[in-house]
Amino acid sequence: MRSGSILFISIYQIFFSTLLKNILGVSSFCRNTSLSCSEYTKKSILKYGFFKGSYLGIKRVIGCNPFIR
Amino acid sequence: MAATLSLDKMTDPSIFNILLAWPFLNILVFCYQILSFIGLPYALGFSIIMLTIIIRLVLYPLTAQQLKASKKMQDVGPKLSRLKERHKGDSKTLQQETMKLYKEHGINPASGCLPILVQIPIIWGLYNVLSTIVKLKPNEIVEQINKIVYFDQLRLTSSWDTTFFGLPLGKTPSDLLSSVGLLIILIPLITGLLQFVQSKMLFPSQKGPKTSGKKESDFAQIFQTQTTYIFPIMIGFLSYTFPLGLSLYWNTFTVFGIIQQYKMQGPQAIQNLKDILKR
Repeated sequence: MRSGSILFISIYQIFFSTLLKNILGVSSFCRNTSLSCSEYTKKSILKYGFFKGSYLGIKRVIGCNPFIR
Repeated sequence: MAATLSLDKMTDPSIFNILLAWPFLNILVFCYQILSFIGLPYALGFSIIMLTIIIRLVLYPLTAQQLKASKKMQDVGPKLSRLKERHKGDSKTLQQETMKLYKEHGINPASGCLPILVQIPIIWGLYNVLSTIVKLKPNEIVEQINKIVYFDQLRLTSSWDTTFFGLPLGKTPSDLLSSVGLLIILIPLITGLLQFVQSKMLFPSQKGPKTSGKKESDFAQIFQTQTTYIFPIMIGFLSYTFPLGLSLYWNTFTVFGIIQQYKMQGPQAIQNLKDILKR
């Protein structure tokens, strides 16, 4: 499960994220420039395992908007 | 862009329809009623354009901040790569220095990925609605649409004209190749070209020193550069097999994106494009 989810995120990072940027006309998604949400999720899954890692990732995506600092 | 809704499904009160199909359809019918009231010909085609612009305008605040921040970030790019070079291996100092640099240049990357992700279902819903309605048969139009409209004033009394400047919106360029001739190839060509212009504006060719990152991010970088060419070709091919009504939606969508980029980058954007053409 862990390696599957890592693979899934990697595929997203390389292919889908680029396609999405092209479609939506945005060159970058992230406000935290040092670590993107997908990279963060990947690292958390490696560190804490699939469930806690994904939870942290989802939490971060939801928190990543202009209304929450 | 997988399955489209089948006809009987469009009137089903499923969650997808209630949230992502019917609202768009109602705005579309509203646009159509206004445009046909003022007597504009090809009102359906223009309604598709109008609906797309409305949706893009509503979504604009979600992307605006992002665009501003990424424009400024591009400007400090060279400085950032110098910082990366200097603080190689010391990620903590690098992060502090990066934040300092951003502060100096007034960069507030305040948007984030959620506002971007929110747009995906909307774009997909719009795509679904349009691909369904352009394929409706004349006798189904009034009956199906009137089941979905929220207000009595929006009800259609007669079927709408499904052509746009003589071209049927529900047909694909590949269907029309034999009847219209080679000229129909212009539609996929224009669609691909507009997409290319937008992609080029988004990811101008890299100048200056390359940042030395990990292997994977290098690959992502290469893929990004390649996509600037591959994606427009892909979109061009897709639009050859998609109903014209969808190409109309897609091109309006892209043109809006190009204008958005132009407003962010200013005259520099035109200069970049000229540079590409010269090569």
